[in-house]
Amino acid sequence: MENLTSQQAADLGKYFLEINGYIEDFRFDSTIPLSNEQKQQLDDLLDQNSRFGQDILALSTKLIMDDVRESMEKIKNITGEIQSTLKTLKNIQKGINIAASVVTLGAAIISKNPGIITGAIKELVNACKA
Amino acid sequence: MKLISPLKILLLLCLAGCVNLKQINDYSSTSSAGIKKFENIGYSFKQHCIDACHFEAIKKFEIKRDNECDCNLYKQADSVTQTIYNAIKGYFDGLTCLSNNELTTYNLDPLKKSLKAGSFGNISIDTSDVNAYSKISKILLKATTDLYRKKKIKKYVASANVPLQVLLTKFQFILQTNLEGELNWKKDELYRYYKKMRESATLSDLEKGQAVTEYYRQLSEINNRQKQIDIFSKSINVIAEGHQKLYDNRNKISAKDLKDEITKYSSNIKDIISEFNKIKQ
Repeated sequence: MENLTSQQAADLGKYFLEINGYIEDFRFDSTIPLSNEQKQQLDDLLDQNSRFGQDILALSTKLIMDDVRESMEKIKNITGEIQSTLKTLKNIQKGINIAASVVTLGAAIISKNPGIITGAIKELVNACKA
Repeated sequence: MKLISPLKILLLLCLAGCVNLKQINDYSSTSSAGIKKFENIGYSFKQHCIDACHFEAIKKFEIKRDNECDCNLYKQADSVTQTIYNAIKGYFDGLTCLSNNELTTYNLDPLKKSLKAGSFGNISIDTSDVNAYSKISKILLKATTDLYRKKKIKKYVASANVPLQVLLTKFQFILQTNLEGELNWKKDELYRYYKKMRESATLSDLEKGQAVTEYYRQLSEINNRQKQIDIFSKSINVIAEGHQKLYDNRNKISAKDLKDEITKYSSNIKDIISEFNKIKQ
């Protein structure tokens, strides 16, 4: 089973559903009368096919991971790069805020007012942390 | 006066950049919204397994706990589906953010505040100077960062196209072939169950009528679910085609034709989302 491809597994699921349809037509609509034992045998076969058919579609999905592993890695890497670019562009605003705080600090130093200088330093620290 | 002509040119450059990224932003944000409709499908491989397990128990008049249903394989199928979905969603979310014009609309007020008019040692600054420099800086910054964004978007669309097309194709395959296939099996199970019930000599005509009514009610629910998946798959097709168009024309990102084509894809995706939302479960 593990050597099947996802497409092959999906195709098998489809064939089993078709086969079940033909067996059901015989089971329920046949002109040949069936004994209760024969009906039970056919029902058991249909149940088995049904379980197999459903399981194989789930297996087909699981097998897709092998088909997409490489593409998944590539998309994850590209998405990661996009996030870095976004960070760079958002950091420009941070840069502006820091630059503004530096200018404020410069003006405060020129004013030689210790109270204003302290306030300006706090503002610069906050801009850097943001 | 000498500043006016270069300013006009900068403004035009900026406007040209803004308009085209807007179309890409519309396409990527609509695609992102379209892809996220997957979360509204409300059915999964695990759900299918549990429903099938419960149905088996009903046929045999058994009472079972949920954890008595062996659904490991189905959980693995859901895990694969979710992983692919997350990768596609992450890419379109990123592209949406990157193409959003608000991203490079910077607030220069902090600089204006600190450069307010006054004397700084030997330097004196006028209010009109502060305002003029702030306006020019904003335009220059937007033009530069928009060019940077356009270059990056072109690069990402180019590298992402092939793997994205693979993921979209496989995602569509999982939903339309496999998950819908499971629903076909569910219809088959219902058919057999109610056909057998009709054979019973012990049921009255009224009970048989009620059984048939219930069969068609359940069948209608399944058909609705399959219709939802079909419509969602249609949107995946359009999203894939849109990205391919973007890729094919990535070097002509400023062209009017591309702008119009991409707008058509965004519009188609929105129509499909609308169609999806109309299906009641």
